[in-house]
Amino acid sequence: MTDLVQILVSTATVGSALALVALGYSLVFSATGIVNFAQGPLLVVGGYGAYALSRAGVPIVVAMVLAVLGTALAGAAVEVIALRPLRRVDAVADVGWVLTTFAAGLVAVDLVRIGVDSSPHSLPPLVGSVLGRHVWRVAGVAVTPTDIVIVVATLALVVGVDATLRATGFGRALRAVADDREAAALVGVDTGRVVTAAFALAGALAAMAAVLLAPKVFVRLENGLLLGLQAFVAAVLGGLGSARGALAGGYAVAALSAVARTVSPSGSRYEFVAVFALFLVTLAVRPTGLLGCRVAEKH
Amino acid sequence: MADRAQALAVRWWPLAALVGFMLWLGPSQAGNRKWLDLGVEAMILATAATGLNVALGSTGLLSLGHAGFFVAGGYAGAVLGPYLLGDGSIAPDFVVRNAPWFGPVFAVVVGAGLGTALALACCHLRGFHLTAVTLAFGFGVPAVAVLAADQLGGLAGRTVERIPDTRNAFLARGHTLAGVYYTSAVFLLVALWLARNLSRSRSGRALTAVRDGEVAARTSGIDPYRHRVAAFAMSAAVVAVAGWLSALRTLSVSSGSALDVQTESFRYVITVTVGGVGTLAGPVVGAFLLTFGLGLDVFQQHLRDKLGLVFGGLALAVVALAPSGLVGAARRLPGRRCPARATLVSRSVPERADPADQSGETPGRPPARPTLVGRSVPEGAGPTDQRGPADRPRTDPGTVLLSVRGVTRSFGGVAALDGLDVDVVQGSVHALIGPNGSGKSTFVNVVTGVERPAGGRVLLAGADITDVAAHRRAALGVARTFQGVRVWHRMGVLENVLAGGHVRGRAGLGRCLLGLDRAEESRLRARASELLALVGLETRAGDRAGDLTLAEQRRLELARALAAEPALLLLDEPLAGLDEAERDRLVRLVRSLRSGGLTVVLVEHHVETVLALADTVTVVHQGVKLAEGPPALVAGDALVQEAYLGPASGGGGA
Repeated sequence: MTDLVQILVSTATVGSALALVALGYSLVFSATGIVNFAQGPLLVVGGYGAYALSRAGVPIVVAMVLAVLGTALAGAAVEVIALRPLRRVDAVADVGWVLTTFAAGLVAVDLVRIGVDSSPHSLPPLVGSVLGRHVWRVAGVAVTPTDIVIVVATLALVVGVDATLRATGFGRALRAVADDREAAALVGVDTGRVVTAAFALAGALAAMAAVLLAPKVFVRLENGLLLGLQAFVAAVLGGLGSARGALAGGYAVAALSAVARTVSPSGSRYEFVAVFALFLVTLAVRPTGLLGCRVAEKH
Repeated sequence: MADRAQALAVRWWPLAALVGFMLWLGPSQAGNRKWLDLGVEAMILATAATGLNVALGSTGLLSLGHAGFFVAGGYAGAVLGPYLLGDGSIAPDFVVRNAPWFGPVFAVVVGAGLGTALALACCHLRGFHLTAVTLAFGFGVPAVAVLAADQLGGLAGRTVERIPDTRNAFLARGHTLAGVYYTSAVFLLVALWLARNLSRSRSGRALTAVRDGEVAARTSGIDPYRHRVAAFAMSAAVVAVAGWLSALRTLSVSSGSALDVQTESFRYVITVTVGGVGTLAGPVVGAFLLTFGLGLDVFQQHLRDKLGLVFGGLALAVVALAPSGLVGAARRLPGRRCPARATLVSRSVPERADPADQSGETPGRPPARPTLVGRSVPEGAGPTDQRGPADRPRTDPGTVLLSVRGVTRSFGGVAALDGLDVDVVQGSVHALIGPNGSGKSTFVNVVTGVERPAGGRVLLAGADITDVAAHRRAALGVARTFQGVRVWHRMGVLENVLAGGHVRGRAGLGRCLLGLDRAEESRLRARASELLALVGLETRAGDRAGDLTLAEQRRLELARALAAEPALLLLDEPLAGLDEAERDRLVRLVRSLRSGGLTVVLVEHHVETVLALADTVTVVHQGVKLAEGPPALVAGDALVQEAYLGPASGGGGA
């Protein structure tokens, strides 16, 4: 029973964070047909940004907001630095954008390491300071307001982004750019701005995942790779380009890894193996994901 | 003679410079551990980068997990090998005595094995999916090191035994830094030699063709999946050997953290990118620059611990400023004698182009093709015999070569082919005409295996090939050109034709790597030059295919298709974009091919040409056959006129 509740709590919270990061992958993929390999590192930027600000004495709520905004800027910067030059020149063996977005991520993480430090940090819970430090015990498992806030905030964000994509001018512009960039430009869409905005939004989502999850999971440099890859698996599983798919994929990956952690005798070592296996199976069986429909991939 | 000497100098000076540098650095810095060690590091990195380049440059697979193979190679060569060959081993005495020197064998086996396993799982993918899988693989390597901490030593790794200096006077030198230096140099040269052989061979061309255009590769008889897996495995094996060398150098093996593996993997990628993706010299140039550059005192002080920043920044800068790398940029300098070469593929100088040679070549030609079509086509019947089309007998004119029965195929509810029946007679030119969207291109795709029909059968010389993969159909004698031209842009013109003749060569990967394919290669080259002459592109043999005009690219596609010596050639709108002179030229060519016994399916809009050229015309409309018969009859058909001109104007307003 304890195990089961533990798995559920972990799935709900970690899954929410993964869903947010996955949504970032999806947004960028929708707009450009590429995958932003700097998405994981942006999570690191957001987490360490909030930590550095709060260490400098900024109130935690303000620090988190600033970190999210700052990471949005960093996301936009990734697009400007990594992607824009590619439009002018022949890509490197057709995968130049993988190289450059990944390189931008490396640079971001190294800047964080040099600018802040490389040790793991915890952030005080966002809501703990506002709602008080309640802890409920469910079958012996501690559930905090933070856990609930993560889930609620994630659901709200995903629904909000989904609605934005479906109903607003920005959403229409994004879908138009995704469909045919040149045609979108012809009918007056500022394609450059739409794409940059998608990258910025993806960065903001990654930072939100980082600050929401930080009270539960340490902010670490490795998270860029660890959570970044898991979120990528979630995005692919759910279907790149689908907001609801990102949500479903996030929870599925988190559930699998929570179960793997629980059943493996030696602690958390099999977690990643399970996720990796899921990834390979997804790619082999249904590369477009559960809810994805876009078959074409840029290559 | 002077020209020849100069050509040799142009071709070999980079290698001469490398060997010269290595021979200078070794003795001159014998007492300076730092520079000698940097030399070793540079050569190890160059070896790894050369390995990576096989995947990245030749095949377009971007791996960010190759450091995993490096670590695995280190463990296999320096830990597993000595363990298995240690005391009590059943291996022959000679092997046991020199056990450490069999390290590279273990590294190659483990590296290739792991690479194959990973490739089998992900080489059906392209682009970012594959990269993500390799990232995940790199991530898993430290996890394995922790899981098997007793044997592998966890993240910190373990020390390995030096190569003992007592057992063999010569090999014993290996335990010194100088010994490691020269060992690394030898392995780097071997890696370069293999890469060079590969780039000039049938297998290497197939890899590049897969990278530059998978559909055209498949219809030329190249299996993309198999070639990707092979490239990935080779690449992993070479990187694994570099890992073994590194174990010799540091006397330790460790994976480091997941971030370390990632950074190290990226180091190989950036090394190749800085030097020049897909070039032979690129990885070496990149490795020496990066290693010696970072080895300078000023960098040692400030940048040694900022590798992410350095490598990431370099990658961004190179892609933005010189995406073809330093070697690529150098080739574009004004005044260079050699035109730019975008791929590994060597400059195409036909080695033996004099006709006397070719006439004597028939005995060297592969024995009767083991194909379905081979039975109905006499030995030697191939478009190569254009010099004397008259003496080539038509085979059983009247036999049906291609039979398409009730084929259906639809796209999103719209039927492109709706139960189409077509029989193409051996040795005829069979034209398929119809309005846009009538399903003609889908027909070609279904016959060549590019698309699978939803229903119906495709028979070639009576055998059902409906379920045969596109690349196998090419081997059975089916070749095609494309409506939207699909030459391999970054390969040379001659290389395009050579790769088109893939199914006519037999050199396997091993022979290609060891350079044992030269006889076959010169035969293929002679034939390819002949085909280029046939389509009038002989003067462009050394150019990049992407630099040709559209009309020239169409001719190149034709030569490429003929290189496969097909029995059935499908031309998908070959006249689009050609002017009148070029049209006439093509018509003459198709006629001469037919008189040589080739069966041609011609999909075309240009009615005049069709009427002039075709023996039989099938009119397709909305996926069904509207009319069929000799051109003159079909042209007068009211239904046909209606389909083309609309009901109101057809047949005088009926």
